[in-house]
Amino acid sequence: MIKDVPAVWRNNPVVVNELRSRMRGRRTFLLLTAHLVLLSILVFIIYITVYQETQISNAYYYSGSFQRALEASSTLGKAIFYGTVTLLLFVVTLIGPAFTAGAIVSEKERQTYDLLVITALSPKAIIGGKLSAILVFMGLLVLATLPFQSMAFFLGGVAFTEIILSVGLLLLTALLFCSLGLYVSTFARSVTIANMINYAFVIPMLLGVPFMAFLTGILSSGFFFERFFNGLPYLPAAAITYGILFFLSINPLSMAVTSEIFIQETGSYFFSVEKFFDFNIPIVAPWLIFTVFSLVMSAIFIRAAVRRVERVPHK
Amino acid sequence: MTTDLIVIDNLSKSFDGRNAVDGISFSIAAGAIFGFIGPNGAGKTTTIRILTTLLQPTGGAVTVDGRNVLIDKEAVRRQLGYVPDFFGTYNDMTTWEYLDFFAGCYHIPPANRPALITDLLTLVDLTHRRDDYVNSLSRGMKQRLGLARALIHDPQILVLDEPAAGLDPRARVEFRALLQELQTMGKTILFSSHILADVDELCTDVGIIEAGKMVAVGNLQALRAELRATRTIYLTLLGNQLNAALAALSYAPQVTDVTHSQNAEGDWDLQFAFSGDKVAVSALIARLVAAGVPLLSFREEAQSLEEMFMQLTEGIVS
Repeated sequence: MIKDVPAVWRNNPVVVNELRSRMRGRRTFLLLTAHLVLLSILVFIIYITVYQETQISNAYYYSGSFQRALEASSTLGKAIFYGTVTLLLFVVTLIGPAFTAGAIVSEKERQTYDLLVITALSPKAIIGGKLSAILVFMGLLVLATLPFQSMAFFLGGVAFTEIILSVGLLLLTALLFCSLGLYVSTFARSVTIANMINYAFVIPMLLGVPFMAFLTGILSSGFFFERFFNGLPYLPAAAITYGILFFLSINPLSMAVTSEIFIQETGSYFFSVEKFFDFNIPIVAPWLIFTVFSLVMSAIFIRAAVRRVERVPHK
Repeated sequence: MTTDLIVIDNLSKSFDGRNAVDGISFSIAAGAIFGFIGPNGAGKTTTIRILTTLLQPTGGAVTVDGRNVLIDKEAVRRQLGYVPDFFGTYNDMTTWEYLDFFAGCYHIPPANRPALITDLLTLVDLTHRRDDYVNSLSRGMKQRLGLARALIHDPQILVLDEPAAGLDPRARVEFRALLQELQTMGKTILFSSHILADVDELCTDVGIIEAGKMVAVGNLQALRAELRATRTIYLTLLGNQLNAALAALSYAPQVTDVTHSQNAEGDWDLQFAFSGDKVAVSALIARLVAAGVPLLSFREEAQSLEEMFMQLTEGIVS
């Protein structure tokens, strides 16, 4: 499959066609403008709010003006970084499926699907072309926000690696959700139905997992959890730890939060040994789990979409 | 010797237990223009979709140049140019971009495309609309553009589903001329149509389908001859020789329903039904000449495809 990637890209008319139709007209320009205006407003609000708060708290804690300015700048940088990444995660997870929902089913609706599939273009090239064009656009949405991320970097509190990692993870998130949307688009009967199916998956995943994590957090700190899991042997303890870690890592929002905590707490980007249930258990960074999970799931969705396009229908 | 390029053998297709196509068989020779006619819901589009690898049959086999459409669909697709009964297009795409996109889909190198697209636009007479958006074209123009798209990879076979539907009379005539030109270029053409006059004028062969079953298939002239139980013959006689003619006709047992009238020039026009074959027609002419009947004209009314269609079909829909 990997060796086919250059062939999918090289002179793929679907990519050219999709990008041309997406970029032609006002729609994309307006969307990109709205995206950046929204982000600018968010960053402005974060800046004003956090700046005022740091002025008050720093005036209380620190007497030296340089130290105070440095701390305020770092807090601001972090806040802007977290704010932009969170907004981008929502944009990518909510807009990605909306764009891919129509990829195949809209070809059927405008009666071009038959014309496309009977050409010499392989189903891989059709699906690859559609996905690539959408990912290029999602990449544009992410890259257009780099000036804000750079601002966070220059204010301090955020490492360059974190910014690169966040961009990479945003693109992976886009790949996962766009692949899901593309697969749904191959069997849905209309764009509306495709959107409904997509959001039936996306919204529970996006909001359900953090809710469950929140619930788990409450339980784990209380009497109930301790009573049930106190004195647990190593293997069940490790299994529960990995289970929770996996659960938190497959959702982009909880993955982003737990990855940041992981990096801040352990000082490592990849691996650490931490104490859970009285045992030292080796764990990997949630973003690594998410990377593997999203790549595997995307490959499954893409393969399933290709198979559906390959198939000669019975009806 | 002509070879069969398309062979449909005992093809059947059912949807939820309803037979849309019920064991049909026919073949189309290379270079033929095959008219596929039948009422709405007869199974024409279903057959065409199976032939163009877009639908799985329930039974039977379809081969194109010896290749099974299910087993070797990629090779079959390269040999077919398909114009469906609808015109699917992309928004915000110009005529040139539309053809360039499909040229890309057939892996035609970018360097070869400008000349190819120019040639095709010339063929379908759309050169002047090269940079116009496809959505702004008239239906006739869109249909011609669809044909240009179907020809982009120079297929051996063209399959057209109701290509003349919705076209105005001029566009229909232009489209017919285009198909005749394509036949002279060596293309084999299968097209379904409701407009029997088009089929009558264009086709070398026809297949008539009703309720999923073929009711007639073969060479159009041969079918006409086969179906013609009685033919209507018109004679014009010079001067006042009516009695000699009537006497000569009375000896022919195949002649019935003779009517006559004198025209403005004083000559006699006769009309009668004749149930004999072409040998009998020839013998009748010889008899009239031998009897000294001064024939000014002898004309036989050809049975139109519409009459054949009405004679063969019962208006049943599967």
